[in-house]
Amino acid sequence: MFNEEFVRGMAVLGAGIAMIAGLGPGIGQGFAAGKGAEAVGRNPDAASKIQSIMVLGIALAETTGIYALVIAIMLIFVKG
Amino acid sequence: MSDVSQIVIHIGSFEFQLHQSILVWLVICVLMAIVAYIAGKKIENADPSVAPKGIVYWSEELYNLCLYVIKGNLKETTAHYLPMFGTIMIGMLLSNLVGLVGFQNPTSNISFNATLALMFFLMIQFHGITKSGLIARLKELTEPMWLLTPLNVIGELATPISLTMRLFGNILAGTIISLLIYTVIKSVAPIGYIGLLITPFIHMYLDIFSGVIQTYIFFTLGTYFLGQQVAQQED
Repeated sequence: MFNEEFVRGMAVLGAGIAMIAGLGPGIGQGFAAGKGAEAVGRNPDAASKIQSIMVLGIALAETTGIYALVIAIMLIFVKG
Repeated sequence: MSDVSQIVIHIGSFEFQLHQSILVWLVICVLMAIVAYIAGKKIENADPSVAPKGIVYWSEELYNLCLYVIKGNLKETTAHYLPMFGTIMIGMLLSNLVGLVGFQNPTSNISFNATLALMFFLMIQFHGITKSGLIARLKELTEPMWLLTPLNVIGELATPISLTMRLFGNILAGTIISLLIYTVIKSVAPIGYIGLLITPFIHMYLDIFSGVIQTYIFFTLGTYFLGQQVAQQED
């Protein structure tokens, strides 16, 4: 129905659009880091515990961005 | 190294491909078995009254590390699951870090991650059914009202998929990003060789930090869902 070049171009364009999802994890991670800094400021003794929880939360928030990345990689390498 | 990218085995008319990532995993398994055997012999002969050294010390530290990851979720059933999860955890840690010496990560192959995630999924469902019976398990899916049944089913099925994709995406993205950086450095040579100064930090973040954190998250989440079925909840 469509020719090869059109499909390839649209797939790469779709990969670019999929990566807009990077907005979400960026905001989420920034929020988590800010709250972590706030908590350390309030209770400096618990810094190591807060840090490990914060890193875990940040890595979990990254998941949605990683999904978008997997979709983009698939679009580029399977269709592109 | 690129010559051993894959091995193809022919069984009759059936072609069986072993990629480099899977071959690396097999090598890691053999090495782990040898090291664990030697460590076991050493620990048997170790004197408990003196401070441990060398391989005995390292195996104790690894044991504590595995306990630290899974104990919070599995509670009193930890001892039952530790041999299996500890082994797979150390194996996954090594396979996330093996990219540092130039091999393909076994975890950048989706079949490896999917196998482990499927293992968790089957264990969760098996324990969920044996705990309270099939009827009660199915009834759990209709909570809090029957209209939400499709959402609950999707939620159950999403667990292995999200475990797989998180690990796969992180490790594959790390590999691709460092590959891109090396390509850029090569294409703008000789000025680009200045860029080699920053590559250690790229590897620190993408290989070491990302790999260790993703191993931790994989097992924390997996044992969390498993612990909901097997461990007693305190409430």
